[in-house]
Amino acid sequence: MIDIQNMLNKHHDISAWVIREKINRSLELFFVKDRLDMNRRADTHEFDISVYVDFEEQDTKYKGHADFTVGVSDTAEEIEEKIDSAVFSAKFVKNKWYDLPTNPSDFCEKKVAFSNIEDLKTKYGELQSIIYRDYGFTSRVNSCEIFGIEGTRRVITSKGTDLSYPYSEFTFEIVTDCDTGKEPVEIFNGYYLTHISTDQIEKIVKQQLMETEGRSRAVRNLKMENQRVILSGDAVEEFLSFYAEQATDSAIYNGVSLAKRGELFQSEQAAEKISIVMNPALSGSIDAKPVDHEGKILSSYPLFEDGAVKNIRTSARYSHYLGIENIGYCTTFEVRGGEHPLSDYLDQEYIEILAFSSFLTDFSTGDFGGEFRLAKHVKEGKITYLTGGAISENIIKIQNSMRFSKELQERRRSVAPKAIILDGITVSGENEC
Amino acid sequence: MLRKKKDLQQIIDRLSKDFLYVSILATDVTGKKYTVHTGGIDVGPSADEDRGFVVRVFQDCGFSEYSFNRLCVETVCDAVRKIAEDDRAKFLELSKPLEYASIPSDEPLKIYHLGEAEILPEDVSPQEVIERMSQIHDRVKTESAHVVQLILNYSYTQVNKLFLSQNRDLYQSYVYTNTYAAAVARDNDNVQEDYLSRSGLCGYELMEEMEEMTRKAANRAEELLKAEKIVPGEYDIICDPDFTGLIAHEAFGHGAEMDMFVKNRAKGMEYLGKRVASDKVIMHDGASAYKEVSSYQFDDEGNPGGDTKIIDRGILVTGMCDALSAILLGSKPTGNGKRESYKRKAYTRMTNTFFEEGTDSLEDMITSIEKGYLLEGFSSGMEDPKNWGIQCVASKGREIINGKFTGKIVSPVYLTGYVPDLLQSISMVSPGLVLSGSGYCGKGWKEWVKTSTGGSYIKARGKLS
Repeated sequence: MIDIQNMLNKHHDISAWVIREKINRSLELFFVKDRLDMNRRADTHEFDISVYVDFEEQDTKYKGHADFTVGVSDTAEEIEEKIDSAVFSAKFVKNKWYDLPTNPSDFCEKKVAFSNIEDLKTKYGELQSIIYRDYGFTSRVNSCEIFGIEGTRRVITSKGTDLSYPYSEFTFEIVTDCDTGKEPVEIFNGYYLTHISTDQIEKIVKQQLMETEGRSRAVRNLKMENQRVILSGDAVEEFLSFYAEQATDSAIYNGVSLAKRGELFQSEQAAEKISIVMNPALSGSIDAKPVDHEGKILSSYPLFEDGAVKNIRTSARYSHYLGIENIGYCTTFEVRGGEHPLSDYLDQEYIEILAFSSFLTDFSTGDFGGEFRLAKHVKEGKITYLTGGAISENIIKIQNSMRFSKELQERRRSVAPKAIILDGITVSGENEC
Repeated sequence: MLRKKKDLQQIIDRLSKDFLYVSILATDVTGKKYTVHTGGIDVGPSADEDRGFVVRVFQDCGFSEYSFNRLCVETVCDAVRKIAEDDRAKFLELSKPLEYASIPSDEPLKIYHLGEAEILPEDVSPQEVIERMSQIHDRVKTESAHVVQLILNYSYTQVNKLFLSQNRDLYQSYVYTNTYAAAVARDNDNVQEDYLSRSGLCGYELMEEMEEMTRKAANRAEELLKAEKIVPGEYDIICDPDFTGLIAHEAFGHGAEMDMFVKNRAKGMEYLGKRVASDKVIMHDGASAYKEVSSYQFDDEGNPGGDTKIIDRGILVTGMCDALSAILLGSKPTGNGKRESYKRKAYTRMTNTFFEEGTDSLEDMITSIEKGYLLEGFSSGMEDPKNWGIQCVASKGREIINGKFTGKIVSPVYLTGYVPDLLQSISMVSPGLVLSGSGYCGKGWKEWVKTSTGGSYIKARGKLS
C-alpha cells in the first residue's frame, strides 16, 4: 500500500487519488443433498484505484479521472504502467471541475468484526443439523452452498481520509424441493447475513421449507382484478430502493429523477407517507460501511420525510454540479413502519405474494412486477396457494394509495416494513384471451 | 502470466505427490470500459477484469479448491494441503462425502491459441475513443427532443488464460468487445428508457455501429413515451432475435445445465429423447457453436469448447456438462465448466445459446396474426428448471391487428408461462440468425458469467402481462 501511495504521490500529473483496499478470506462448502461435495478456500487482496487529473482548456477547468485495479502480486513495473495508462486516459475525460471530499474528523461508528471462518468450523455440526433437520414438512433441502467470509476494507485518499473497517459476511443458498404435489416443485434463495446466527438461520430454513410445501399445493390462478396485493420478502426492499435511487444526485442532475429537494414526492393526500433514513451503520447488513467510494465518511441522514424529499444522496461530482452539500453516497436504509399492523389489512380478500421468480423495479420509470412462484390467496378465511400469476404496475401511479405494515423486517440493505399493501391491482392468470 | 508458468508447474509437481488429480487455472483478464453520458465521462476497468489462480485437487474423499492472487509456491502448496486434508477431514467427521467414481478426464492435450481482431483495442488511443463517443453523444442528443439522458458505453476485454494439469498444457488469448447505448426520454412526469447493445469476438471495429445504434436507442426511448399498459392475456406473439435468444436461454438453457441433473433439479432429465418443443425448434449451445463473447478454445476446467445440440426438431437430445457433473452422471464434459472468476467455483454454464434460423418470412408472420404483439428487446429473464416456469421481460410490444401494425405500443411486457407450452407453440421461424452477448447470466442469484444468446424472429403464443 505504501508503495502504491508513493507512486501516486510522485506522479506529477495526478491531482488527487483514492485507493480502496479489499482483503477477503473465505471458507466455502458445497452440498448435494446432505453430502459434502467440494470444499474451498479463497484468499484475495486487491486495490481499486481512482486517479484524478486537473486541466484547463479555453478558460474552463476540468477534472478527469480513470479507475483501475491492482492485485497484490502485481510488480512495481506493472503498477506504474497501470498508473501511467490511467493518467493518460484521464487527461481526455472532460468533466467540469469539482473537488473531492474532505472530512471534518475521522469519527465513524465502529463496525463489529465476526470470525466467520472459525465460527463455520466450530459451529458446523449445529449448522448442518439446522439445515437438514426434519421439521415435519413434506418438503426438504435439496442442496446447499455455504460461504463464511471475513476481511478488511480500507479507503485512503490524497485528501486525508484513511479509514479501515472489518468486512464480515455469512452467505448461504438453499434449494428446497417437494415431490408430494401434482408436480415436483422447488424454491431457491440466497441469504446474506453478517455472521452465523443459528436462530436466524433456523427461521429462514423453516420459512423456505414451509413455502416450498405451499408451492407443491399451489394451483395456477385465474386472472383476478381489483385485488388487494401484499408484497413481502425481498420484493419490499427492491420496491423501496426506487425512492433512494430517485433521490440521488446523478439521477437529478441528468433529469431522470422526479425528486426535488424540499418538495413532496407523493401527493398531500397519500394514504401513507414515506419516511426513509439512510443509515451507514445499519447493523445486520453486509453492505453497511462507514465511508463511501470517494472517501466521504458517512453519517446517518433523512432522505424522505413524510412523503417529501428531505435530502439528496450525493457524490463529489454531482453534488458540486447541483450546488448542494456532499453528504455522501450511502446504500443502506431504514424505512418507517406504517400506522397499522399487517393484521389490520387481512380482514378482506387478499393475495400475499411470498416468492417471485424475479421481482424487478425500474428505478427510472417506476415500473415494477414479475411472475410469482408462490402466493397465498385468502378469501372468506379460505387459504389457496397460487403459482404462475404475475403483476405489472408503476410506483408513481400507485404510491398515493400504498400502505406499509407497522411491523419491520431486516433485509440485506434495509430495515423496512415487513409488507407493502397495494389495492386495486390486476393479477394476470390463466383465463385470459 | 506465462512468466509464472514455471511456478505453477512446480505447484502441480509438488501436489501430484499427495493427490490423484491436480490442476491450476491462471487468469489474466484485463480491459477498459469507456462511458460517455449526458452527465460526464467515466473510464474504468472492464467489468470482467480478473487476475489470479485457482488450484483444484482430488483425493479419494473428494474435490477441494484454493483461490488466491499472491503466488508463492510454498505457501500455496501448504494452503492446498490444509484445505484438502485438515479442513476436509474435519467436515467429513459430520458429513458423508459425495462420491466420485473417477478423477476428471486428463487425457494429454496441448492448446496454444491466439485470437485475432481487426483493430486491436489497445492500439486505439483513449483520446480517439472518448472524442468519437462524445461526438456521437452530442449529435444524437441534439436530434432527440425528449431524450434527457444518453449513455454510450464501449468496453473491451482481453482474456488470457492458462490451464495446467499433470497432462494438459493449455493457453488462450483473445479479445471481446461490447458496445451499449441507452436513452432516457422524459415528457413531464412520464419517464421511459430503452437500450440497444452489440457484442463480438472482435476489437474496436465494433464501434462502427455505435452511432446508428445510439440513434435507434434514442428513438426507441422516445417511442415509449406513448406506450400504454398491456391488457394481460394470451396472445400470438412474434419475438425479435434478442427476445428469441432470451427465451432460448431461460427456457431450455438453464434446464439443460447438467449439474442441475446431479441434484435432480431439472425436469429436463426425465424428458431426454422426448418432445419438448415444436418441430421448428433446433437449439444449440457451445463455445465453438458460434463466434461470440463466450467462444473459447477451452473452458475453466481445461476441457475443449464444443457445440451441443440440445433440442433437435423439438426433441430434447442432451444437456451441457461440466467436468465433475460428467463423472457423477457417467457422461462426457462438453466444455461448459465456467467460473465467474478465479475466486469462484466452476459450474455448468451456458456459452453461446441459440435457436437455429428457419425459412418463414417476418412479413408472413405479421400477416398471419389476427391479434397479437411483436416483442422487442429485453431487460431480464429468470429460469425455473424444476418446474419449467419462465419469466422474460420485453422492452416493448408493438400491437398487430389483422396482420398489420396499429402503431400502438405497450410496455413493459412480461412473458410468463409453462416452457413446453411456449416452445410447442412456435409455429414459424425466420432466416437471419443474430446473437448478442451484452449481458451476464447468473446461476440462480449469483455467479455472473458472460454468455451470448440469440435466434431469429419466431412466432409463438404466449401469456403477456
